[in-house]
Amino acid sequence: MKEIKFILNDEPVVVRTEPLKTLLRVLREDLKHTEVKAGCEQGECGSCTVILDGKIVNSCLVPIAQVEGSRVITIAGLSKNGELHPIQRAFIEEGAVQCGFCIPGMILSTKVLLEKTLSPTDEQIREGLSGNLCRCTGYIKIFQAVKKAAQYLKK
Amino acid sequence: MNYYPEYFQPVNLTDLARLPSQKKIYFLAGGTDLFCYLRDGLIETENSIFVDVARLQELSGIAEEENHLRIGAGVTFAEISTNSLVKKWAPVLAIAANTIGTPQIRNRATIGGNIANASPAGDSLPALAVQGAELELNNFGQKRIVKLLDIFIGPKKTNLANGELITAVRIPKKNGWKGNFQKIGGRRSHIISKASIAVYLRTENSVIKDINIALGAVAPTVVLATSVARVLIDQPINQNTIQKAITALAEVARPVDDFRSSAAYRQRVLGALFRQALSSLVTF
Repeated sequence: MKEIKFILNDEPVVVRTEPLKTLLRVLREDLKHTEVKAGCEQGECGSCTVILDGKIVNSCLVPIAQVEGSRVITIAGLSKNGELHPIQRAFIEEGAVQCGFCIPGMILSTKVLLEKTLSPTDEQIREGLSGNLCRCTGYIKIFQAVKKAAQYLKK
Repeated sequence: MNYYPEYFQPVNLTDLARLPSQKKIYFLAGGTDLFCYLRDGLIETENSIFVDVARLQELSGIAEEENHLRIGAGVTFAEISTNSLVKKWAPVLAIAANTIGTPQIRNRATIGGNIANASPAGDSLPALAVQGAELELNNFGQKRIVKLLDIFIGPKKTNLANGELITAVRIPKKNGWKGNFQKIGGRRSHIISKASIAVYLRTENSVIKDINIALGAVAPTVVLATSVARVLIDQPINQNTIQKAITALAEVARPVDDFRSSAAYRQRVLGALFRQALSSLVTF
């Protein structure tokens, strides 16, 4: 067992756990952050995507020991004072959410993509979201939502 | 039985001398392969130790040295695919790095890990092979340098000793060479190669003077197709010579049928991948 400290959605947290337990399991089981979804747990689907020190990662493949001192952002860290983040708003308005299981990861990947550019091309969206699988929508509405979110963020 | 192996985080390379040699030592960097093996029960946790090298300073950084480009084994594919020194001195690797996994995987997966994992489908391997890459190794403090291609003995098998760590990759600097990498899988992103090819060559007046070709996922290990060179060097590049080269490539490839593809398809698609790679480098 090891004590690990990190910043989760701007709040310092401390957990005492197995150093090789994955960030995904620690978030869901130890810290009850079940907004982070467990899908394939082998780095294929992207449901468990979180932002670790500014980069998207599959939390199912990250041992908690490597998170010591880092900053982690989950989907729950996006809305402020009960207001949805513009990306969340765009996804809802465009009907980009069906079953919703991929959406936490999809929105976090969108966030990092839009930090690089607010005028993403289709190819850049395709590339930026290529690690997040959606089995419901066919991606068209997700692309529309990403473009709408970029417009919101430009304002 | 413990679900987790023992965990050890060395502060620097000197700490490696204290590793328990009676246990199976797994070096943990990005974890993108290792955590799949752990999840799938492929690791004997009781007798294994994960040695976390992710934060070792000695494994980081990309530096241009006199005769080679040195890439720390802990450098991620995200860093490699965007680094200007890699684009200049290891163009084939820069292309291959950007085809590996997904953005999430590339943010974590390291070049040292891709080599140590020794998958026949490891996409950095053909790219490194055509450029004559060497590895810096550290075995409980004993250092040595080996040729990349000398360590692979079978699918996911190397001849590195238990506890021997890849600390860096050296890529010889060559002027006037250019290269390309092509792979194919079931879809465009996040694919493990059914077949891949790396081509690195030097031309004078549109004639090929030197060429190195390496194949991935069509043999138990990455293979250099040395016999193909004589078909192409100092020859006019036309459909006739390209067909001869493809025939020579087919003799080097020893693909298998597996869950990812069939031997017949791999053999056939190799020619198309070769054409694609070559067409980006010479006109014909």
